Amino acid sequence: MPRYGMVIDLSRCMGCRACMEACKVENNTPQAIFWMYVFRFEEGEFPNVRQWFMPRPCMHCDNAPCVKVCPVGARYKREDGLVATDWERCIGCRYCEVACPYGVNYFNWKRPDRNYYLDWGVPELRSITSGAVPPYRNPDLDQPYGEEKRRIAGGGHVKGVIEKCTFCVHRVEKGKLPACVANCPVQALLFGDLDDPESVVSRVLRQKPHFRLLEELGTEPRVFYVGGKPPGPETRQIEPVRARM
Amino acid sequence: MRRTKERLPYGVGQITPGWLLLVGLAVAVFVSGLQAYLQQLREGLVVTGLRDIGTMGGAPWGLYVAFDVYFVGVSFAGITVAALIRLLNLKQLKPLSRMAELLTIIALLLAALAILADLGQPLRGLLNLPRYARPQSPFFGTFTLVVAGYLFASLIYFFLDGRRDAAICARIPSSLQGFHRLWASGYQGTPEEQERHHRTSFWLAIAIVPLLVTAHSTLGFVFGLQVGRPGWYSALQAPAFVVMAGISGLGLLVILAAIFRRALRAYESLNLEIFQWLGRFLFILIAIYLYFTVVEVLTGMYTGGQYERRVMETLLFGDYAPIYWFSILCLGISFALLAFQVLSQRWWISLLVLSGVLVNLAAVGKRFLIVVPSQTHGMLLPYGPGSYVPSPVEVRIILGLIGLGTLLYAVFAKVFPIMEVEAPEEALPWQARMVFSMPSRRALSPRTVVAIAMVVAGFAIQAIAYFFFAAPWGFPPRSPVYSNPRVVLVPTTVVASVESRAQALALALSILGSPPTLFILGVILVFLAAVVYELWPQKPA
Repeated sequence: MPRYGMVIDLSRCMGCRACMEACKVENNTPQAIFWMYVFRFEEGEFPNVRQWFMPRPCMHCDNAPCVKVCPVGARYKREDGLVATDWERCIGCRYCEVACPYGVNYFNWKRPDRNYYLDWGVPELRSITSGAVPPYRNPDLDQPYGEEKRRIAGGGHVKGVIEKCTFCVHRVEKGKLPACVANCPVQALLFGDLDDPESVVSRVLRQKPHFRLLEELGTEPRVFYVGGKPPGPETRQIEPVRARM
Repeated sequence: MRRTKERLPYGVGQITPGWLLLVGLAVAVFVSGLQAYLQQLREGLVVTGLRDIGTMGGAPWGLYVAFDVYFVGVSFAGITVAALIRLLNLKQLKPLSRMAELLTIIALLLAALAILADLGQPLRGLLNLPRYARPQSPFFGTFTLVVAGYLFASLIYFFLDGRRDAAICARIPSSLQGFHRLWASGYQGTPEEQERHHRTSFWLAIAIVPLLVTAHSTLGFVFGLQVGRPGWYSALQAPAFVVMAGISGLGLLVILAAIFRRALRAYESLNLEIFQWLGRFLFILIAIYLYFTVVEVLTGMYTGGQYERRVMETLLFGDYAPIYWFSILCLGISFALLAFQVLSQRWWISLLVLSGVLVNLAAVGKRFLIVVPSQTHGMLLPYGPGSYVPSPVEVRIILGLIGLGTLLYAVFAKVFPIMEVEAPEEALPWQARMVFSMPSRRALSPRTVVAIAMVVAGFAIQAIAYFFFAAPWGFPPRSPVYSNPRVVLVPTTVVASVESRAQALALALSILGSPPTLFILGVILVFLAAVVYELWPQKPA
């Protein structure tokens, strides 16, 4: 069984937010929801100002606070380390969201009806979809995955349930990379098996000093950052995405 | 009030204009809340002011959770007072006990409804909690202990305690006679029956007190165990919950007692002594809570890391300062009022009622401040502060719940005496000795054996369901095993095969066969033993 993890090279990230775009397209997430988010940070006083960028997917923690608190086991840890959300079982209590220190959970406050990444009203699309959608359902996202055969890919944009980054489980199970990793133009995001010493993530982690976000909380994240430092008290966010549903 | 033989005591069955006005108002508020809830069901929680933590800069938990905590808190005082009256044999407080018990039951009902209003998928909540509830989630305690255990235990206590009065009422011909007869369920008032009731209510009270501390603490743990939320992650959370629960509940009880004193002209039974007792109790609890507040502020401001201090600063000087200082002011004023009365040895019911109102305002404010600021300002990553303002829909739903509670209380007061009916035939005084002495004559009657067997079986079922059947405890939860029941009594293959033919049956099977249901059944079985013990048919002499 592999042990998936992600490595993010902060020295490479240029804040283009292509990963956010790729995630939205791949998972068809509704308006104002960012399973992948890229912080743009600023530090210091003029003229000694430094700008840097930090992508923030779900950390897929080994000791995940969200998994521990879920009252019905809809949020669970898979053998391969992915923290999955069974959107068929979720009752929408949002406990995982308040338990998560990283703010990666997004609730479906309403049925997503418009403002998808594609405008479903345009005639060219209608000829393809025969007017059946929205909400559009990618058949891949609807399938059950894993030994447990539970619906955990990003197909559940159902009103009243929680969703978050799935590490693109529907792609990973087919041997592909998550959409954000595959679409990063500068290979700042790397994905692979932490148990395989020859995998790209293992090699990078061997060579470079790394840290994990909020490591002191004991959540044991599976996302490692290299080539930078964690945000501190002096770090300010600039150009935040101010999308509120 | 002219009391004749024909009339039911304490205004039962007599409709007054004031009562009609109150009920009409309560119904109107409740209907408005219901309409708001239907709108929320249709459109989703987008109609509330709640939003996601993080990029959306909101709070996913808001007014619903704050009021759930408030309602559970209110329920505390009711059953505590009732249990204390029984355990410490506070005879002069007896008129208070039914009022208090009813307050507990209704408040718990409202708490359950408030959580239901909070769920994004309420129907799934009702089905999936009994099917999949996990003991590792702090919600498990809220769901099994508070709703199943606590509510059920209170209902049993309430039912058994009311049988004597029901029997008295059932003798008076009225349209409610059938209901009273049903409640009395064959109660005759014989010395044996009284003795048995003393015994069961004593053991129930003993069982309820620890259950109640646990239940209120679990609600504190819902917040206190979250390492990632500064302001929540504190060992003081659970004890402060219990104390605040006592304050709000006692405050409400003072108000209720004053209302009934006036409405029923019950100046003798609800005398000043009762109010004094409540006032002293309230005084002590407020003192403890104010102490907790000082400790909390000191810890947050003095030592606090940057995150802890940020939350504390928004409370003291920032966005939440008006609510915070208003709550503290309310607590301070009622503390001063009570201190004055305690020290001067002179008591005014109007001042006590004022303190009751003030502490409840403070309680609502403090509950809101426990729930919300840690979400909007307690981010550990530099997201920037969020905001939360309740929407009209939320306010209407909460008001509707309060209306529902008022309605239930008012209706109950008209179908059953809200205070213990004084009856000369009460022959057997309560003595602690009696509880421990063996039942008279025969050492072990079948009724005792069955009751004890039920208690033992109930606890056994709970233990089995909790430790062997439910998802195992594990640290850290590295495998899918930790999120699913270990043993399902009805195999999933059976459920799946039934599902194709009868979906409802499959659903029922999957619920019945799951460990959380089993655990709740165990809890219920334990408390049902008391009913069986009292209602076991008497062998004709």
